[in-house]
Amino acid sequence: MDLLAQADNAVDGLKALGAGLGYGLAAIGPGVGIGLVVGNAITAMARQPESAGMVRTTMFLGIAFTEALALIGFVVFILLNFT
Amino acid sequence: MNALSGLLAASEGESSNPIIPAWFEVVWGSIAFFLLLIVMWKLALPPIRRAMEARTERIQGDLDAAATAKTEAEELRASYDARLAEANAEAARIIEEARAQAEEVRQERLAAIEPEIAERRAQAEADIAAARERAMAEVRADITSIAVGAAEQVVMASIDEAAHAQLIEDYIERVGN
Amino acid sequence: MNLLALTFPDIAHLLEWPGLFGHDDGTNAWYALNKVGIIYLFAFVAPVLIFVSAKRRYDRSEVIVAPRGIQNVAETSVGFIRENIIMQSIGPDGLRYLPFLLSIFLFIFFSNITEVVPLIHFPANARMAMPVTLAILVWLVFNGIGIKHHGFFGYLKNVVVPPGVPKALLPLVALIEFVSTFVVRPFSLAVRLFANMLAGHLLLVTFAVLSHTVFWLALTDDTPTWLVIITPAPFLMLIGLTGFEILVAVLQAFIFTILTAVYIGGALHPEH
Repeated sequence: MDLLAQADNAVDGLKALGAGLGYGLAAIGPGVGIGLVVGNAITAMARQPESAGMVRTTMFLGIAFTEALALIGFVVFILLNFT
Repeated sequence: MNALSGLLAASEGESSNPIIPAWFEVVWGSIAFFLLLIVMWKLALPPIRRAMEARTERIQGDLDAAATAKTEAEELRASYDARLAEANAEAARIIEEARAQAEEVRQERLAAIEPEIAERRAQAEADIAAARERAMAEVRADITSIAVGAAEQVVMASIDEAAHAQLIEDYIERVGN
Repeated sequence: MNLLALTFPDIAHLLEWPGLFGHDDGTNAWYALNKVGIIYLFAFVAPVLIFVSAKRRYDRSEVIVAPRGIQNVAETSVGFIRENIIMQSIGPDGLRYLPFLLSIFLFIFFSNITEVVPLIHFPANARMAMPVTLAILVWLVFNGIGIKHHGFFGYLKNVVVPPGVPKALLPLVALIEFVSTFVVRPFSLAVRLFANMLAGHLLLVTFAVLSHTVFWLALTDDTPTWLVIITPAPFLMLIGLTGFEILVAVLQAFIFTILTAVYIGGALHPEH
């Protein structure tokens, strides 16, 4: 096989590898973070059911902010893989 | 294999970066969004918000009126209850008074009538005693006169034993009749 | 990619649509109307139909009427935006922005929900067009409100100088706050909506393709038995994910709207 073509294949493969690893690594932190947010929100709701509505809204906000990091990882994955 | 791509009827053009927005989509999306915004702002929302607020006000008004009515009814009931209790107490007092008065009157009457009864009883007893005395006297006189008569008869017919017995017999029979 | 004779379609096949008109040589002109554009128009027409039919009922009846039928949908969405979004994140003085927030919510919701509508199966927000446009619009609106209420420099000071920060840390905090408010906010707003819908769409496509492939494989003669047995599995997963994507469609519309409200509230009352 042509050496140049091989190098090209290698670059493509590394790109795919990097994209996959990047997304997986980017998902770790937000996964833990969302777990913490929701877990604490449930504790708060169980302790004070009367403020459950406010806690739920704040929980969704927290999830949205935390999730943004994972989504940026996903976007990087798309950028690397599909361009 | 690509039945799916046929279903999707996707573009055959060169693949572009999905992160970069496509201008023609921005154009149509913006048109749709701003139309929606204008329709909502100027046409659709104001009457709905007005109606919702009017309904909220009316329901709140109804609730307030109901609360007021309930308070009034409770006050009314409390006053009725108080008056009822008052009337009951009054009635009980009047009945008690009447009973006491009646008892008093009865005692008075009883006290008044007692000597009369005693007097009448004494009178009656005296009458009975007198009547009995009279009757006894009469009976005694009668028996005496009868005995005298019988003795006369016996004395007059003392000759004959048999006649004597006959006479007594006759007399007794006569007297017996 | 080739696994079990499974061909995953190229991403361009999933996301890029030829225009009904204005489409020459595989490229779309600036006025081309494609499936995405039609979904955006649907997201304009559907809420308008709901609200106009509700409005006609108010116009017809002089007296106050109890809500009925489609009117309930309109009133519930208005009540939801007012009670759960504006009252909780801005306060009573945010009620002026109800039409804006309601439009954003309904527009995003109706262009998301087409992801699970049969025969459409495409969330328009999986294209970057409207997420980025709306994010820029929200950026303009909340900064405009802040400048209008506090003046340009007053607003800038509110943004970059949070209360109770030690003097020594101030330059660092100011830089972070500046970047997070003026750069990260619109960026994350757009990317969150776009990436959520794109990820959902790719997930549904993956399981649809898998179901399709496994089903056709099960019909051929020389397929191993284990593959026939697991045939329903991807399809069941697809059903579950469809339910999940309905949730995501609602949730993303809600999050975009409430973040908009929070940003507006922050521009109005910087002390919070």
